[in-house]
Amino acid sequence: MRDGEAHVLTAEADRTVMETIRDAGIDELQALCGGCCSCATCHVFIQEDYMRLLPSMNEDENDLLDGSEHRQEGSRLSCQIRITDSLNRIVVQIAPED
Amino acid sequence: MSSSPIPAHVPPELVRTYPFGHGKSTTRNVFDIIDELHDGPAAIYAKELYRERAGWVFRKAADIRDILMDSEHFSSEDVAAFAKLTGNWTNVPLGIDPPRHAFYRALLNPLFTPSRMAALDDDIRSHAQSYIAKFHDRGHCDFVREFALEFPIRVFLGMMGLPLELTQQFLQWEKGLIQAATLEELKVSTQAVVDYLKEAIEDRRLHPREDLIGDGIVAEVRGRRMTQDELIGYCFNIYLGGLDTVASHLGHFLRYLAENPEQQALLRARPELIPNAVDELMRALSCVTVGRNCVKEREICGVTVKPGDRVAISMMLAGRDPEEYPNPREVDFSRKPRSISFGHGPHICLGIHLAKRELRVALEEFLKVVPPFRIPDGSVLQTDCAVVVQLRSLPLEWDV
Repeated sequence: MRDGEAHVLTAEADRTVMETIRDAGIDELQALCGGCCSCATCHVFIQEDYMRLLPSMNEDENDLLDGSEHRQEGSRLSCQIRITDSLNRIVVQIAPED
Repeated sequence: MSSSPIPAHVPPELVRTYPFGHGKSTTRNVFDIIDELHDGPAAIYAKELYRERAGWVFRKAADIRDILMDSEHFSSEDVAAFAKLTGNWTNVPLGIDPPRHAFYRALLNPLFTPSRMAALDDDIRSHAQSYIAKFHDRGHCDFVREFALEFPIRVFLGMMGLPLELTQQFLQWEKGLIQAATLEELKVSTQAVVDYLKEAIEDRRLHPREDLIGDGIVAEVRGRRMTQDELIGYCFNIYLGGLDTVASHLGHFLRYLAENPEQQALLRARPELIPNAVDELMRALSCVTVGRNCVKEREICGVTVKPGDRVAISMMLAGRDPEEYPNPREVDFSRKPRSISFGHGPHICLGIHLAKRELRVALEEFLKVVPPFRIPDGSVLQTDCAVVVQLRSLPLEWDV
């Protein structure tokens, strides 16, 4: 969560990180566009160790993140990250709201 | 107004008159009407929804999200009548379905990001201040006519690089687009706006500048620039999207604060709650309905929606759905609602960060400058219940 409170969620393979967080009822992650890379309201910070395991960012995601006032090194849109085995135990923090 | 015939696949018991649609108005509080609809069936078939046209209304937020995500069955193309009346253009990107929609959206998203909108803060604030300065000493105002309607137009004109003196002209055109009683009237108003936008685009080609028109001219969709028709659709879409929607929400918000002095006092005492209050008021007092056309048969809530059927998606209903929000009638500024008032799915409001900023700044400035305000005794508030539900006027008074 934004305030650092931790939630442990069980993720199903092939779903996105955004869907996993949203379906756990965590409303802080707004994910307004429903996962079509259009709104940047599912912005999260990824721990450094996991960054290199993620699929690379496309231009649309990059553009959207560029527009956030809170972009930092580990920024990603969680709707663009699909859960795979290699991401086991991934830790993400929800970015502040823009 | 005569209704279109009810198709055979519509169960007769679901056919209802619906309080919202072109030309309808009420003196009741519209949100009480919304709450009553939540006591009824999950799906109704509304007579006379869009002028004489009938259509489905689904009241649950979950169904509304579902429809908004399902562009395979529910299309946005040809939903708004404007474009087809005056030529070959379409609203960009509102009138375009996925996957093509995403190409345009990728072009537009960077123009409306939070950081770009944050840069407009000072302009937005000074527009709000200049309107409030005109009436705050007087002890009363008509908030809708003297603030809400014009304020978003000024912000829009600034972003488009158009002269602020056009505020009244744009307001007149906007009324023509929204209140047109016949398609012929709608055509005339649409044509006037399109003609003006064409001139503005031409001017910007000759004198390039960095504003939304200039940015639109040089922006690329899949490696090419937009055509003239696409540019018109883009400018028209921005025009249409941001004016009466912000104005209408502001009217409902201020009415709520006037009628609920303890909530008004809370925001005065704790202005840091205003950003959250905007989200909560957007949920509870949302006032926009969007449309989709069914293009492939689908079952929802036990009814069959067939190709050619119109579906009205009411954000007003979604925001007050008791299955989605506990105590939906209660406005609670500490609630952090995940609302769908700005839409959901691919067509989610492009101007969301701008709109929220305008609403927040308007509330901040109004509460800062104007003393505790109320609606004068005996006022009758008339609300127009079209696709954007809007108070016709909102008289407010305060002690000076």
